Amino acid sequence: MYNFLVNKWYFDELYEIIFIQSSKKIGLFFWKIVDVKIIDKFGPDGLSLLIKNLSLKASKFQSGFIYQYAFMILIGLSALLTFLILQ
Amino acid sequence: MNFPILSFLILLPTIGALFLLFSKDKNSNTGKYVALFTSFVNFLISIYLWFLFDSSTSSFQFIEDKEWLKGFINYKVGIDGISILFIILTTFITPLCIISVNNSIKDRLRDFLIAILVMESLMIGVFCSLDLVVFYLFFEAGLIPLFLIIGIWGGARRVYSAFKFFLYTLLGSVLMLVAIISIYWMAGTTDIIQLYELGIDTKYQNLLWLAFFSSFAVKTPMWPVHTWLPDAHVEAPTAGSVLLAAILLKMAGYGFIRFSLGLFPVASELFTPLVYSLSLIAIIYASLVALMQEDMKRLIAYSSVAHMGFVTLGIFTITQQGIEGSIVQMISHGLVSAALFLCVGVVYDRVHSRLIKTYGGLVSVMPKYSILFMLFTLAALGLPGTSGFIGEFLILMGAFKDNFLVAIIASLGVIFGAAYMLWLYRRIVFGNLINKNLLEIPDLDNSEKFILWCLAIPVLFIGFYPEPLINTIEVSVKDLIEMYNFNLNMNMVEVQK
Amino acid sequence: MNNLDFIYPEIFISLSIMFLLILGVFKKNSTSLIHSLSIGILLITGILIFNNPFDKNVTLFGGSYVIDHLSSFMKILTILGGAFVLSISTKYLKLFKIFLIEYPILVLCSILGMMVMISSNDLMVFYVGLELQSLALYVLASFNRDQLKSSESGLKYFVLSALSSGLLLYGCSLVYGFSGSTNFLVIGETMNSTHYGLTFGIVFILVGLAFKISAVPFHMWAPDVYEGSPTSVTLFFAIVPKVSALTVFIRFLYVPFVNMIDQWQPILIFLSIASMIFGAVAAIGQKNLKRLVAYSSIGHIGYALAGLSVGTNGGIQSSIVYISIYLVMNLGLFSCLLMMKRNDQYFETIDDLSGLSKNHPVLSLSLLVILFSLAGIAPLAGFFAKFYVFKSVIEQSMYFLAIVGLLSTVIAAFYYLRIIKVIYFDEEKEKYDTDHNIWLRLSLTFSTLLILLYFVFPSKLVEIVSRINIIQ
Repeated sequence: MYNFLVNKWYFDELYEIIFIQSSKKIGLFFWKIVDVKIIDKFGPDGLSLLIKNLSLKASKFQSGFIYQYAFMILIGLSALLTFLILQ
Repeated sequence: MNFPILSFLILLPTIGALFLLFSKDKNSNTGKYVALFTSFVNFLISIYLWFLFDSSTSSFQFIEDKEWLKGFINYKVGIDGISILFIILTTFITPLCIISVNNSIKDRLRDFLIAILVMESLMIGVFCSLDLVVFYLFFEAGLIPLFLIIGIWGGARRVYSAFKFFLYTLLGSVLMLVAIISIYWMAGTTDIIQLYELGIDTKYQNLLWLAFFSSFAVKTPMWPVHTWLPDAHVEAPTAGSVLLAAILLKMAGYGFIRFSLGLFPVASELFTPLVYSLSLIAIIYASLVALMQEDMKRLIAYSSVAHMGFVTLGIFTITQQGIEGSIVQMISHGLVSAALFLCVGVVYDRVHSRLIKTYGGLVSVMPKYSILFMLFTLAALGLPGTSGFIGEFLILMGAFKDNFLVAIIASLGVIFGAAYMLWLYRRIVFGNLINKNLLEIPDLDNSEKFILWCLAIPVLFIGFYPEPLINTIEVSVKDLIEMYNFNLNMNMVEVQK
Repeated sequence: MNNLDFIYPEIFISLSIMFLLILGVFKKNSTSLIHSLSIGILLITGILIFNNPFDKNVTLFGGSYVIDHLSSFMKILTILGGAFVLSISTKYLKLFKIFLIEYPILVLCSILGMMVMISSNDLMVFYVGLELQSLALYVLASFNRDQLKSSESGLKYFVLSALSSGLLLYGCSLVYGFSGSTNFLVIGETMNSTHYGLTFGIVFILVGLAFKISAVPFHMWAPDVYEGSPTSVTLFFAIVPKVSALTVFIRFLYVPFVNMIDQWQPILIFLSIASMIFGAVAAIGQKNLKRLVAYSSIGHIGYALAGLSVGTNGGIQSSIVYISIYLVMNLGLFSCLLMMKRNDQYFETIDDLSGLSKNHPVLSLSLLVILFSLAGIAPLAGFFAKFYVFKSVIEQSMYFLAIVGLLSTVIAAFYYLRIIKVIYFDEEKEKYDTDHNIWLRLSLTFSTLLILLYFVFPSKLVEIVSRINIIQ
């Protein structure tokens, strides 16, 4: 009882634990996890990675061989024809 | 009053930039004087404009209307009570920015000043356009100089931040472009005054509101599309951060008032809960995150997110106090955050570190700096007597009128705001001087003193006597709200039929 | 005899080609002379086109040749493009030892072919013009015989072009078979059923045309051919054949096939969307500037086709405005490329642009303007080009197309920004030569100023183009 009164009812310490520590923890959580991992991952960073991957795939597609190009033309042609027939 | 004063206001900085462009020296001081002179003249003109402005009417003044794209878009500019304050803010901050590059920009000074001047032109243009397309042009074009400012003169991760800023903002804006073109197709005009009278079909308001929202939300920045701002601020040079925080962010708030409320009242009413939620999250979230930051600029950046959360909250209360409060808060935040970034810039120029742990005990080495820094800290947290208080108080008043719970949570945000600001100040200025390097650094030099006092005086003035500000915006805001409610009622009647 | 009045430009050019050929063969060391003469000839041809009356449309030779606003405008664009290309490439040609008399003559031949294509109102006339244009281009692509890449690109272009021409001819024969005539107007009148044969014919023809204009998925020749050809030829490829190919697209879609809009509109929308997205995404990984230009032009053609897919006069006009602005932008871009010369060597990768802003501020500033314009950022000309196209698209409520287009603009902005980043944010390299041909400097200044100051008088171009009304 004496200790309780001497240490100001542990008011400062309680205050510290309940409000300050949790605010800090929440703040840290929001920052490191939500901001960095979730928002940025899905938002700008994720999107740009996705597009970079698509771009690499597209470049690989351009092989340099004529027969593949000609083949693409014919495939494109057939696809359009099929689409029109099905309409 | 036939002299095209607004166009002159817009063009003068660019003319100054052209002068600089054709000068030969890359790093001389003459360039600085030319830029300073141009921007200062611009400031005087805008003050003169303020004197001429008639604040008893809400109609747009000093209108200039020229045919531009035949039968389609006119180049139209004009100001009302709301726009003129932002223009004055812009012309006030720019000369201070130019003075501030004294110590921070060493390389390619001339190009930097050109970029700042061009930005000033574009920013003024945003606030006085009276045509949707003209507004969009100025709005978008501002991306280019800031991209260059961050990318060329920025910090270590400047490339990533510059790209993030540019592409993020661009993505939001292109949706707005679709909306603008749709409005033209539906209403036959992109003239804002005409659109206010015609009104927009209720069926489409929701989608259009969302499109405009996507652009303004990214620029505000609202949660969750806020992540570009900390990166941009951290990597940008001091003057770039100042322009970004003080003015660019305000364009979004201005856009919300002018367009989201003005053109799409029904949709605004519908989406108010959304805006409230996002604003509250922004306030609480950003404040908590700010608490845990180790980098000073990043902390202030997050505090900007929180302050702008208050602004968006105030706007969507659709009350006289709420909207007036958000305008005052925007002006105040413009001044205060400019000052805070400049304060960070002051110590960064000396010590080259933005990390809080490098500092401590500055009060013994830089007493003048500590005083001014304290003033701005208090203004940021909204101490009565500073402009921050007026803004926050009015916003909370408006919020209490509209939604009690929202107001309570927002008030909680004020407490958090005080927490991180005071803690920041204590860690940097008070305490023990542990870092020996700090013993050597000089206190504020004359130019820095000048800039900070120039910012401090309006902050205090507005804090004690906000009347001139409120006077200017009162009628415009009142009529905007009246127009809003009128349109709303008309639609209710139609729906009930 | 009245008929001949209207084709003075074509007659003049054909005769000059023959004259130049003879002159070149019989006079020693006449290359510079021939070169300058060709530019002069092009300008005179342009003046002759101006002389054609602008107030009425004329059809000649039994209706197989048409002179109207569209043809005159596009022909002038073609000629201006050709004249600029010729005038700025002299140094490049001299360096690579391909400064020969055949070069300008081939360019003139190609332009003649394009003029015939642009004015054609008949399947046969169109095909003749197309082949003349293409033949000249095959040779031009492989003009640098000593470089393996050049020969390879010419050969690739030839083979694939032959395939597409075959498909095109097959389509033409199907259309002829089902409509009974080769004249566009007559075909237009008789075509109103959804007979499969007609539809097939249209598809075949559109595929052939899409190849020429390098629309996705018939674009695969473009990156290799653009990269391998000599830079001045790449410039020609990027600008001039696109103009004529677009004109032919317009003519085909809106004269003979105008009643079949329900058939071809989905195809066109597909071509447009595919080109816009592909052009935006694929260019990101590119390091070679010429290849990047190929992908970027694929993207731009996507936007131009979007304007065509709308089906209104406004849409056509917006496409024409788009291609004109595109021409100016690419002209500027290539002028910059041709200025990257050091010690008798030309450089063409993005890394070579590193730090350009420190050594060559004016050049960098021009590149900045041009690149932002290519990305479509306000307030430059490129933005307006996209703006007009999207305005027409939205007016017809084709929102999906508009949104896809705008999103791909944002994606494409990335690689243009990256080039700007390299120019301004990166470390500098050695200086490049600054002694350039006056025409090169002129064309760079001219294109940059046009792009930068377009927003001051945006209506001028639109007014001129608005006289082009194909759909009555």
